Amino acid sequence: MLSNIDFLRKIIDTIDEGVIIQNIKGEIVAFNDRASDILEHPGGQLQGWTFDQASWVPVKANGEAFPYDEIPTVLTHNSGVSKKDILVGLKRPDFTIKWLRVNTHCMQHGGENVFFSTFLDVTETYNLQREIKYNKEPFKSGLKGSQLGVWHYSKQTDEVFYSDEWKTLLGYKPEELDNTFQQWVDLLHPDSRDYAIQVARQFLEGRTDKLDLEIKLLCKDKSYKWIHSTGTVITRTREGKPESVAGTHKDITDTKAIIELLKASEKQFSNVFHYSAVGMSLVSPDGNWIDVNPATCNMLGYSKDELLRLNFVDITYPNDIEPDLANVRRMLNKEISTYSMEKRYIHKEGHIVWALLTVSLVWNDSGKPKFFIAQIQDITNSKELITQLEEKNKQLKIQAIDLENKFEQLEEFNRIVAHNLRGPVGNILMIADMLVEDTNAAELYAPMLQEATTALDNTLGELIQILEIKLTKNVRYEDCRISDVLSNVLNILKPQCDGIVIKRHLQVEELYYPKLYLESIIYNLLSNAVKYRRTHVVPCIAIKTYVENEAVVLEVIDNGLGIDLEKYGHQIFKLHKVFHKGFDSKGLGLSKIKTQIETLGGRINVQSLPNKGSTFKVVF
Amino acid sequence: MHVAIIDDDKIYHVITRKLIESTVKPKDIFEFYDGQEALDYLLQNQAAPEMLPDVIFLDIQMPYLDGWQFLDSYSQLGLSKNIDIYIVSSSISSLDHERFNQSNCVKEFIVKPFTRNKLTEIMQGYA
Repeated sequence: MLSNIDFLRKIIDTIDEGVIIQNIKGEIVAFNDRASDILEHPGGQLQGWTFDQASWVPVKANGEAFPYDEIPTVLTHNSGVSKKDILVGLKRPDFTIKWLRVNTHCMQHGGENVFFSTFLDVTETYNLQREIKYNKEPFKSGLKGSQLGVWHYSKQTDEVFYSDEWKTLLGYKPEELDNTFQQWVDLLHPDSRDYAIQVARQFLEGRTDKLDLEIKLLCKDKSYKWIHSTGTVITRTREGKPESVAGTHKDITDTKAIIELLKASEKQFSNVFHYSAVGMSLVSPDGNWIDVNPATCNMLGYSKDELLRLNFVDITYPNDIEPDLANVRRMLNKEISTYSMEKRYIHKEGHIVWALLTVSLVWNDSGKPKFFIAQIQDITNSKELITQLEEKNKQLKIQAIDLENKFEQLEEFNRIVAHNLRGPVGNILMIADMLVEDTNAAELYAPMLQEATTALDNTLGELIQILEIKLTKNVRYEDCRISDVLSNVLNILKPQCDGIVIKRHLQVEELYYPKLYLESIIYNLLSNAVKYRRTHVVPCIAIKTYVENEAVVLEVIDNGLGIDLEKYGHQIFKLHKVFHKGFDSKGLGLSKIKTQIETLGGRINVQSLPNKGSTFKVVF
Repeated sequence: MHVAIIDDDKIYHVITRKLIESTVKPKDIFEFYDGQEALDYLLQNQAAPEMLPDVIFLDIQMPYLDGWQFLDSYSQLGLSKNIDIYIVSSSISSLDHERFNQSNCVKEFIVKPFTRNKLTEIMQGYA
């Protein structure tokens, strides 16, 4: 008998469940090793032990102490009915609880009732379930308003739970969607449905640890929303397979839209870069081309490969390198963030390409220059047009000046005709009148008549001279040595030149010009300078020639009487205008040479201060 | 009465003097050969009205100080005596005639030759 019990004990010692047999008084008469572990009574002291001696008290699932009558063994003891799967907590003095699943039976042994109990430690499972249960509520309220949808799937029941937010996220009322896996499948966008199902299966079958999916789900309004779906395993089966899984849904439609937009703009930039008619290029901080678009290649005549082997300096027109580099330096020093300049490139075929260059600099995160973005616009045509326009403007200006001169000359002619022709004629008419009245006065009037007719004749002669100049008759261009002409003139003026200091600064020696005119110009300017000198200073005359704006310039500078230009400025080159009394002046010289100079396309001007001197400047 | 002739033409001076003397009997005829001479005289005698002319015959084209420049300076003198100024010029330039229209101190623009009839017509006003 005993040996039978020993034998049984040996067997039941090997199982996971605790096993005890109590007599009618509740004393333990037999037990296995596991039982003393579970009941936390160290080392086989369970013999004759009763539950009242335990340090723990039995509690129900809700944490309340078991009424004595309801303890499973007591129940069985009292009623003889077996109890199955009763959850009993052993509440320790430190209030921690060990949960047992308990089965009890009543047996007859040797004419006595004994009570056979088996119990399994289920603390772990129980706590887990409770945790899930208790945590659910706060989560639920926490998730409200977070715009996160929550789902939960249990393999055991094959049920899916979708939270209200999960459904409202897509615009559905909670009752409008089924809590099934198929529901999710139905909402998936056809394009990504197969892929999404495949990924979900892999996760549910335990082949992946986490679910991380971006899917498009059908909303109630027939639109699709981008949803980021994540999932994680909550419990696993003994084999390690997911038993229940849960996850969230997040609406990422806006983010997706932004990403799409970014992608589009990147694509756009790429399109702009490649198809733009404007040359665009990326240039390294040391000036090498990193990438160039076809327009750049077209403009400069090089293939992309050729350009990428070159530095921008290599194909920049030499005069434009330094200004460009100066801009680059200023940009690297962060003085400027961008610059634009007109510059010249040298086309592969050697000709010049005018370009409007706009450069900006991209910095990397560590504050080092990354690359330049250069835009090159071909402005060769505009440049040419502008040059043409400028040329035309110049011509127009010359023509305008020419017209103005012609107008002035006509005015001058008018004035000469009025004063110098009509004047003497008027006198002759008046004399004729007087003679008619008094024939005896002939003796008085004869010399006057003679004087008047002579003046008339002189004026006619002058007019013919001016006309000849204007018609450029007898004008022959030749190479004139200016110093020779000057010497001739000074030779003629020698008698008047006594005591005058004359200085020559001839940077230009040769001039292709009608020699007669050149002599006339130099003679008149020098004779004026000699004539209108001041008495109390040493007269000094300087003659200069030089080049200015590609034209030869002659200057005659004196320290003589000067002219009050405020008073006479507009008359100085007019015929028969004289400004100094007591000189034998007719007002012919300056008028004549002005006509000569302007007829041949040059100009003359004067700067003068009374009692300081005059400077006449002739631009040939 | 006093008459002044301002003109750079010597023959004109002689003939005009004859003409004036034979038309009216002026007390005196002042003759100037350019604007500056005339202006200097007026300046010197501005305190003595009896030495100032009643009528001036003024030419335009003259050296040193022409008719218009004379008029500019004259109008700034502010003489106590009112002098009637007649331009006598051979100028047919429209610019000169325009300037005459804009000036308010010139009584008339007479185009040369200066005839006896014209002179008589003017002098009648001073009889």
